[in-house]
Amino acid sequence: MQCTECERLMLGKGGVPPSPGQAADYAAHLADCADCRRLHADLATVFKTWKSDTEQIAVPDAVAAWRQLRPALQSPPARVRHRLAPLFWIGAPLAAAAALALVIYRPALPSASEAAMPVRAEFVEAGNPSASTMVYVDKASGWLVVWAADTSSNGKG
Amino acid sequence: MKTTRLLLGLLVFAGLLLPAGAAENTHLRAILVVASNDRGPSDKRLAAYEPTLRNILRFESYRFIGEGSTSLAVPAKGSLSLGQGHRLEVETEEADRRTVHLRVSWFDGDRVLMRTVISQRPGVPAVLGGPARGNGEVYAVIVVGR
Repeated sequence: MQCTECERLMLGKGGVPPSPGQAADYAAHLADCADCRRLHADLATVFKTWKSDTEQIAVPDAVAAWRQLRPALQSPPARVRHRLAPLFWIGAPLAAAAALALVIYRPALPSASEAAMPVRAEFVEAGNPSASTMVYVDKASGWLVVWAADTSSNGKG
Repeated sequence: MKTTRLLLGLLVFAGLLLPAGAAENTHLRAILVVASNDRGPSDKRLAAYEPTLRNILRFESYRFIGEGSTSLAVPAKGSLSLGQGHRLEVETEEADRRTVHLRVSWFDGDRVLMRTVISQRPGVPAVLGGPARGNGEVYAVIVVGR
């Protein structure tokens, strides 16, 4: 067995375990080759150190850890509740309705012409031809007065 | 969220319906009174009107004779019976939130006392009057449209 072949088997290259024949040749080569024997000893030391180190590491119990983690994953995350949220959801529709009402029912501000003569009598005809008619709007009350005074009556004061 | 949308939709729907409904009908009330230069007791049925009647007509007392009311579409015709054979025949010509336009004919039986076309503010009365009743008394009709 050559040193390269011995080294390949030593490092496990190829991923295939040595056959019984190869293992015997390997052992014979180590007995004859000081370099390979030194490399073998170094590797054995490295593996021994690695094994002792890994044994000292405490690996957590995966099952116990999963039992602790699982409920936390299943419960929904707590929703952040805003103090003003109810005010918004009630206030927003009301504000929209108020704005709509303002558009529809906006105060009837009379224009100059409307304010001048919204109250009037366009036409007055008394049943008594001799009656005198008059129309006026009382400024204080806004009442419209349509009067047809019979000349025979004592009339208004 | 669905409830909010539903509520908002209903408000919008109601907002669109109400003004349309309000513009379609005019409610009219008419009160027949006799105005006199003689002092007399006040009638509770005229309590809301008598102070203004005194200010603008200057009669000493007012007696309630009768009243009628009706709700009319616009345009439409109607009649209000006021008592003692008096009636108003009314035709609504136009009505909005600012003004009520009425064509009014006032009858005493078959006799016409007055014909007029008036525009009045909703809720603000108009007074038609002047026909003599005798003894210095005159008839007047308070007309309130809404």
